[in-house]
Amino acid sequence: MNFRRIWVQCVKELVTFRRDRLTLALAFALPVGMLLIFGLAIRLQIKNIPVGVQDFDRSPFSRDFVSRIDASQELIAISEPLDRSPTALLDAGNVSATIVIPPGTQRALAAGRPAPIQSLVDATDVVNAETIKQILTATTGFVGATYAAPSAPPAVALHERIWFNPGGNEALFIVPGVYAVILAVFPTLLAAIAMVRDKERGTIVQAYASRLRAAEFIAGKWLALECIGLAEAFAIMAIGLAVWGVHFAGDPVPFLIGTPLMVGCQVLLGLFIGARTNTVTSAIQASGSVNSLVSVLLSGFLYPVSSMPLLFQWISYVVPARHYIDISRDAFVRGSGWPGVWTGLLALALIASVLAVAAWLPLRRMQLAD
Amino acid sequence: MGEFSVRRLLVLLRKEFVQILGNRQVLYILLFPPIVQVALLGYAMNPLVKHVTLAVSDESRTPASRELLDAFTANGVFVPLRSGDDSTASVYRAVQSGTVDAGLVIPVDFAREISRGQPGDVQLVFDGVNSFVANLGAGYANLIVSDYNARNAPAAPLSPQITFAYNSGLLTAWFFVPGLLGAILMVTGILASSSESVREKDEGTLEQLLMTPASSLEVLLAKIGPLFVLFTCALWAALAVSRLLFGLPFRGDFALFMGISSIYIVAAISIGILISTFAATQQQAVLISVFTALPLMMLSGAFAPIQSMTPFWQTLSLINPLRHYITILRDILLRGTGLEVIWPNVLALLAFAAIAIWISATRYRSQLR
Repeated sequence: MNFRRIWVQCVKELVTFRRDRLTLALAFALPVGMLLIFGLAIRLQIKNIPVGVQDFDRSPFSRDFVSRIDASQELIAISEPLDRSPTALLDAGNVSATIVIPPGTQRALAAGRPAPIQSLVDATDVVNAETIKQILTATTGFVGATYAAPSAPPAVALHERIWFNPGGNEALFIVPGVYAVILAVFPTLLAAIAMVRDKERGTIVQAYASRLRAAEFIAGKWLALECIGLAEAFAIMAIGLAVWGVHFAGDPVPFLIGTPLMVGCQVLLGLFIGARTNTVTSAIQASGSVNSLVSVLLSGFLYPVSSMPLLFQWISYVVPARHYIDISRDAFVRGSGWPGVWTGLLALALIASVLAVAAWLPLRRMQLAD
Repeated sequence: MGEFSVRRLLVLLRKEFVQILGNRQVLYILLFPPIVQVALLGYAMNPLVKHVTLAVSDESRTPASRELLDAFTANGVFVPLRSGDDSTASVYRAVQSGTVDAGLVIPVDFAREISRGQPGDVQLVFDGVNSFVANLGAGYANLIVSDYNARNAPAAPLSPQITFAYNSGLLTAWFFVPGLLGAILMVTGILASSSESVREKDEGTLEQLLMTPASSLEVLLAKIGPLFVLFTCALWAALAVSRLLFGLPFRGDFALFMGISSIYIVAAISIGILISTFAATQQQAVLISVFTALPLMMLSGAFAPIQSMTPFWQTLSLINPLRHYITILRDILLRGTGLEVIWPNVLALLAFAAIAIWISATRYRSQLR
């Protein structure tokens, strides 16, 4: 290893990058744009599901019931004509569920007779369906207790509390995750292209012909792209702080170690893809579509990793974004530091070393393929 | 220029087909990932919270408290993590450090309160770092407790009878696969078409192409052709795989489905071509493509609900072709409804594809300047 040669290779890479003004602008404008779009738009908290109500009872009870459903943040009650079948209402697609309150419900309740309320729920969206079920059950329990003949109090009273983000501020959940997605997507793309472009244009032959070794060649490119990736990281986090006030909740040291590791992993992944593929189009498909989709969908950015089948939970251990999301959420929301995140840091370091070897192998002879 | 000539179009089509089919690596990379991704992600992704790890401190140690614990862990939503130390403090510490998702504390006087006719208080603490898990988990916990209460009390007078329509088993794959199909076609379509068509510019062959008598529209249609065939094959294969693996139903009209999917695929490809008219190098084309494709995917309702967005983003999502295509897919595949319901979405897709092709065609000739 000759550090001067690595340094020269790194400077050459940065100069090429700077010369292409549009790419330079895009490398910073696109991550920032993505942060703003994702951070402002994506919310998982279910809200405003339209629910059609057919009230055959028209009693104080049914009106109370409907207004309570409507008062929940999750559902909006819409009064539907009584002569259409619930199935037809769902088929028309304007409501996600229908609730039928049969005639005589209030009287049945007061007399202590069972009073079923029927609901047909559109389960094409399973999250909506589950939420509707939870709210209907809670509402019938509450309103039913008010109108029914008095009975024994419930055996168990549950008091739930949510720590760290008690206000349920969803930006605090989404934004630290978007950091991971952005750092998974853009440095990888830039690195894959930086590597494969040399091959496609044939300029890699000059590197082969020089005294540069494979490890130095990769280290030089890696250093340059690591700098670019860290600059991107700094830019998006400054904006996260300015727009959503996302700031360190505790000891920032694990995060400050984790971020270079994460960028390092993704740059090495990009270099590996670039070293294995021959054309920009294939490199892009691999780094752009596969890496982006996996980093968004298997990292726990939206839906928790723990809900996946066991096999996929294991697979997700090799996705750097999965570990980085844990580190990032801990740094910005929980703030308890080392005890919860040291395993993630270790995993990132491991992934980085494996990828470094993987990128080095196809280039180690520094020769054109036979 | 001259008018539109079918013969010229056929010649150009042949050139594009030869070019794409000649590159095996591109062929594999365009065909296989969509199929594999639909299969894997459809199986892996689960928007319903499961396996929430739960630290438990049962200071009551009575039959009543054990029964409540069993109720909590019966259906796989909560998974208890037992450790040697089950004091209340250690439960709080576990939630604090993020090693568990939630902590349940059953106090000493739990059973005593119940036997006195008072509700027994239990405390459930969630790690709110993942607010999605915390919210849905809290909802489940309430369902579990109200079930538990109902078991030990005379039948509740008011009970909802809930029937799930179209997907009675709440199979998550049926929910995700339509979204995945649309999203993957969109991401792959944009990336492949933008990088393929900017390549001519990169290699300098675009000038030769533009010097021929062919019109911009002919060149564009020829560029769309091979990718269109490839993605249609990928769609069929992905659909067959999801039917095989997940039993995904097909309740609507197949011809209608194919017609609409063609419009959608053309729309996705033309977004890519449109991007390529703005980009000078493949690097730029790729960056812009990823930047376009990911927001289109996330703001489509495939993974994150549209009704939860602010009105501004909801309105904006109306120009997202993926949003319309997913609505259509869920309608045709799961609900089995036809044009009478989805015609506004179909119109939106048509308009989108037409506008994208028209802008690309007008920009195509002037892009070299």
